[in-house]
Amino acid sequence: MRVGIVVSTLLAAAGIARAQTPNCEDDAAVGPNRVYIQAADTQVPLLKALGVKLRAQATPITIIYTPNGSCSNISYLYGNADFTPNATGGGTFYIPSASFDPKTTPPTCTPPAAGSGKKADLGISIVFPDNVDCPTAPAKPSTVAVTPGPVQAMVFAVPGGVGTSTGSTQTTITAEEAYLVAGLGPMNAMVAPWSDPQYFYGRPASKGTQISIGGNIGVPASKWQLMMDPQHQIDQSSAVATAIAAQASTGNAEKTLGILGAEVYDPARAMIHSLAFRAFKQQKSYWPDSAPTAFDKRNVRDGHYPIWSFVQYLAPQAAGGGALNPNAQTIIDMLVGNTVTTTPAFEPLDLVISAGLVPACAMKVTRSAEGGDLAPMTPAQPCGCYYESKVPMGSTMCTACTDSSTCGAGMCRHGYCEAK
Amino acid sequence: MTRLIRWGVMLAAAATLAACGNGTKGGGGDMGADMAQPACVQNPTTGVELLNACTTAQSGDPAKDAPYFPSLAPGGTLPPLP
Repeated sequence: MRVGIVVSTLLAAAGIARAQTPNCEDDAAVGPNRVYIQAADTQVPLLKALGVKLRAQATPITIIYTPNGSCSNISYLYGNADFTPNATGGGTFYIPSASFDPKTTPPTCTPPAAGSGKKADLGISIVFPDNVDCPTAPAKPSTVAVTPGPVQAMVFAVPGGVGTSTGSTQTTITAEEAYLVAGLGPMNAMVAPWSDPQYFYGRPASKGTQISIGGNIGVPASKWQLMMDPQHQIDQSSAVATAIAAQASTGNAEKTLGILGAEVYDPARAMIHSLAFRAFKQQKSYWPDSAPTAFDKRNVRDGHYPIWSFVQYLAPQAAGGGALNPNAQTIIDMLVGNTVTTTPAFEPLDLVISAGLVPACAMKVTRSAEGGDLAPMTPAQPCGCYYESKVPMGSTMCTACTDSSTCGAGMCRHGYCEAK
Repeated sequence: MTRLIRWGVMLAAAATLAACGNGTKGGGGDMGADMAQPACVQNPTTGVELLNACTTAQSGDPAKDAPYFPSLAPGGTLPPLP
């Protein structure tokens, strides 16, 4: 009798939950002008922040996304697959309103079923979308355009908040150490203190964070010697941060090591800290930022910290050019710094910076392959001064301006004199 | 506390070594010959030079500066992946 009541209650609850999950195609319940995104999971914080702003526009745009690995997203877009939710990542989310708190988890909706012909409007990868980084991805069709965007750094992270006395005492890892730990496995690497595979947290091989870090330490993502379970090949970046943080007071903090995108790491600095990294052929080790407590990504921008990659936007193209879904093109243009047809009531650059990414216009170096050699680069329309002024605790030595008349041979951009 | 102290020491070291002085590309800074600090690069153009360019940024554990290598990578030579 009691079992019957419990079962009935559970079935009723499930029914209510199902009833409360709207169809993603429902204008009233979900929102108008929808853009379906196969999103790299590290890009979720930016999508949530942007999604709120887009819902507030006179003509609102509704972001619908599912978080997944970069290689999966590339395969879906290049293979012209229907929009594919990642159940492990929580399913399909949508930004419900302009008042939604982007620090919280958005509601989910039920997308059109596979076979319906509903395609993603946009795919996001944090690795170069090629078959070097994603060996099983189909070849790029001419109908999909790839637009490189801002830069994302990745870090090795250990338990214990920045500047606290809890957790791991480790501050630095070298490329050789990382190669041995990831490539031979903690037990065989002979790299103290990271000698226990139970406390080595990575990602499935399709995930951009592992691919990108692997490109910098010479260990392809598929070769990482991680324990073969979802607790060590973790699907979502946020869960990696949680797993690392959980070891702070267990007595195993010193053995613990994991990998994260910087924009997932930055908000978690109260619980975990990143390691300075010394690359192959490098004399000293550096953090992505000029100091472990800074947020300026100075070493990413000038080439001292090489573990980074461009965020890449993949969009099916219309016959006349531009994304098939014009609202997807608007999102791309905002995130890469292109002019948008209707000037938004917000500065998209601020959202990119707030998310812990580095706009390409603030970079001083570039590269053409995952983990490839860096080369000096001067952006066509630099924004380094503005970037420095906007990061947390940021400041800039640049001259403030309202127009270029006070910038000598330079140009006034975003309120500061830039070199050109 | 240990990490706080270590970061404090590294911050002080970074301030001391800031910018590597005014050495030329591939040349040493103004640290003085007896200090045997690795050279930093002014005006870097290649990938390796960018990694080793002069900077005021704080660096990590000096015990892991080159030529430190782990025991299975003597001189930086790594064993093959399984």
